Amino acid sequence: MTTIHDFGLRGYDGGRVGVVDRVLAITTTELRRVFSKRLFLMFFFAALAPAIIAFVFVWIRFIVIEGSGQLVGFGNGMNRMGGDAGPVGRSIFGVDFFFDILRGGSTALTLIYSGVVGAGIIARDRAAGALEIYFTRGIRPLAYFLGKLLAVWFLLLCQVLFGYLVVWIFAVSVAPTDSNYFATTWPFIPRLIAAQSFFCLTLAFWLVALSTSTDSVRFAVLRWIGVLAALRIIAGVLNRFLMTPETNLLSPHQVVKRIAQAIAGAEPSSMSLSSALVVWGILCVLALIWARRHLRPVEVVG
Amino acid sequence: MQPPPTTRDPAEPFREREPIVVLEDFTVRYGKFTAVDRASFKMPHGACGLLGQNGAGKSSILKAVLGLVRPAGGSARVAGFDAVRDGLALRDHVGYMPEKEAFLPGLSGLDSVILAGRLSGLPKGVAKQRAHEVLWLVGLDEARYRDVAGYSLGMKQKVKLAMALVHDAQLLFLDEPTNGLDPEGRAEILALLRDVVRVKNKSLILSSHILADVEAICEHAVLIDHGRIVAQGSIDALTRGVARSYDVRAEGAVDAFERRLREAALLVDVVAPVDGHDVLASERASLQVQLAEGQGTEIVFELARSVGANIRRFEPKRRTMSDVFLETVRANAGVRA
Repeated sequence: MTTIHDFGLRGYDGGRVGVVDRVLAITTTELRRVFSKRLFLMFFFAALAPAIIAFVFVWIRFIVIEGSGQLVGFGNGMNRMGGDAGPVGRSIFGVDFFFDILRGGSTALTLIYSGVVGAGIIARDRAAGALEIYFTRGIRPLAYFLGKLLAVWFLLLCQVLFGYLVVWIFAVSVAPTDSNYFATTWPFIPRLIAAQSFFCLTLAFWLVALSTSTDSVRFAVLRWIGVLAALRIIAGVLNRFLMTPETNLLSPHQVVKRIAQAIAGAEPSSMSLSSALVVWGILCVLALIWARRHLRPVEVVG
Repeated sequence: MQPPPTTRDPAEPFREREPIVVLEDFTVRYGKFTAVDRASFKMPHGACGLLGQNGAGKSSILKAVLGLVRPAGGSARVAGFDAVRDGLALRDHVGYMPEKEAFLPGLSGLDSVILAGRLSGLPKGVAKQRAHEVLWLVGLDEARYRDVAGYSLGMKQKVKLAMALVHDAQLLFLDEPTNGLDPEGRAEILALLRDVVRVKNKSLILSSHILADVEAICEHAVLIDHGRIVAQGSIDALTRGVARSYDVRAEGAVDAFERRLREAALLVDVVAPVDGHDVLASERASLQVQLAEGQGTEIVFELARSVGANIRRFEPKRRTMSDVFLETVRANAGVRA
């Protein structure tokens, strides 16, 4: 039988930390939880594939060919790979190389990755009854939401930005001095960071908001990936029939990508930026209403 | 003259002489439905049972005293805080143990308690240290490093209790803390709660359907029915003896004594002893005696002497909380009808 000794359950009359520390406690705990899962780590490294591909091209371009020249004579194909053009014809000196190396392929991977890491983040808590623990503490639902949002944002940034930044730093460090690689590329790096941060934050916001309404992680993940994929396909089909780029407004990730392209100064898709901004605004308001409706302590507690 | 502050400064310690919960005409409505109807009670420091049938309004009162519900009327002061205005500050100083299974998924017992502490405003280092201490206190030793999802029900209850205690809560709200536990687990949690109240000087509100738990832990009880408080007071007062009703145990010619009591129309009931559960009077039945108005207790002793029986126990019969609860609910149903 447990007994109480003088040790333990001491009084505490020190100060209490503010809301920022509490939000960060939620974020860091979530990140630690995610990174402690072996399955997640495997998936995480798989999702870094575009950045790894970019790394390989930089390595071939600046070390193998410019360096020892080991690949010289391996044929035109390899020489093209080592040239200024990247894997799909994008120059490794341009922002597009770092924005979306696989021309949409990276975005598809990001969507699947985001679904796996973020779509079930609140659904998991709801299923375990954790919301009752959070909402009976000294935090508002908004602080809880922000804590989860920051965690998902960081996980998405890891996938779409940090890998590329490592590639860029690597490229800068190994590029021959006469290539002027740093001078050519550094001006777009802040815009690239801003664009990808915006892209990830929007996706994270929609993901976390959507996650509030269910207690099934599997459903949440399938809903996110399924709905976005379906909308993308529908937009593509309509585009073929109607021959207008505005059909892409049906696809939320195309909308946010269009805005991010504008921020980064990357080659824009043909969708109008102002229409994309309007749709983005509407979707964000809807997500906010959705989250508010489903994160009500009075319905969770008791 | 400046009016007195309506809420407490969080930096000030709570004065234990004040009632820890004060509800005045507190009304909670969900749309047209009135969940709590002008509830008023003062709960002194200590342990208080909150009793009521399903849907009686217990959860609404719990939400109200946690500052999660905006009332339609009235006021609620909890641990010195205005629960309506200062719900956030209040929740830093109270602990809540939910009835349903509730754990932080993917976290160990230790990480769960640390996060609970940090969410209640403890700095990270303090939360870590206190989490270890409080987990040791509730009896989770090495298991604290394992994922909570793999815990037994009893261990999950202990983690929930540790999360409710870690931030030095002055008042605990416990919703069915022994629900689903085996007898050993139940006894362990009850012993812990008793110690928390009596040794560590915490207050708690225990909402439970197991009235024996309330009697075991609490000094006070509030009975709620259809959103109204129908009885409140100390358990001692609520279960005080039924007028002129006695529990008598005898040895010797017990059968003859029982017959004489029956003939004198004094015997109400005979409660047979349960094997092995009444060691001191294992062979004695409990004779439930009811005296008429103006009748002295000597008559029982005279009847025993006349048949050669020896009375070994003679005490006023107490009602259980179960009796009190049923009587009150039935009476209230009559009033409503």
